[in-house]
Amino acid sequence: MLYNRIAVLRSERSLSRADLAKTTGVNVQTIGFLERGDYSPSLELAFKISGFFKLPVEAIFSPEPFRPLSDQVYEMHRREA
Amino acid sequence: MAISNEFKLAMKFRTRRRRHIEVVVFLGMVVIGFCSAARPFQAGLIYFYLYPVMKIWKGSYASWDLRRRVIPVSTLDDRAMLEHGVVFEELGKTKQKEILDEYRGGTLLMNSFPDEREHQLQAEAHMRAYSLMRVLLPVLLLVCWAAWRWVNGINVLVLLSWVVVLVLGLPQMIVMWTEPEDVRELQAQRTLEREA
Repeated sequence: MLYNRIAVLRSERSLSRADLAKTTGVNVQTIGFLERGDYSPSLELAFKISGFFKLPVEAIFSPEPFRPLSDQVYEMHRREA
Repeated sequence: MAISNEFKLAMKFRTRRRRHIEVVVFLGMVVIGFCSAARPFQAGLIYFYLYPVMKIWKGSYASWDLRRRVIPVSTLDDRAMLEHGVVFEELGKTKQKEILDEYRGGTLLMNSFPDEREHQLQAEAHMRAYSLMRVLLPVLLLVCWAAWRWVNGINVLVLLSWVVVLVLGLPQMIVMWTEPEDVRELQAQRTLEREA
């Protein structure tokens, strides 16, 4: 199983599933399956998605569950302080 | 504006439960087909032999592949129900505007091409069907041969034609049985069921 942050990233940018689907060349349903973790994308699709969000692949997909972004940001701030 | 009957019907026939019923009916028809081979073939009943084969071919082998891509969207409520699981008037202004921008009356909302997930689903279904048939097919052919050898008046052609229907229809049946429901569709189906 591959975990991902597609739903969060899409929501942050106020994008619809259709927008992401159109750019990456898959059906809207497939974006839904990806977001729920019901489908692991091919390497090609993973790179297309990371290119779309302008983020490295490992920032979007991970074999381990992601920690909440708020935790990571808080920890970063604490380390800087 | 209201939800169209075509949309309601399409959603009803897309549920996993409904698909499972279709698969069971398909298998039932195949069993009946095998049993019908025990009767001597009568040329006058050719329609009786061909009708279920054609019906299964149209309904199960070819139909789901098309049905899964096409949803008739005739009204704004249809579109809102599909996208958000509620009628158009219950949506916020932004969502209403999004739908109005994309909406075209009388069009069909469809996935115009099978993408990598659908290709994978098909490939997995064919692989499962192959794994099943590599065991089942020799057994069926052995049964056909034994029936032809020892049962009087058995029609091997009818028997074999049903074996062919089973072989060709099985991958599609596996897709129909295993394909999960889309979350948006599930939400719309639940709302429609509640309203009914």
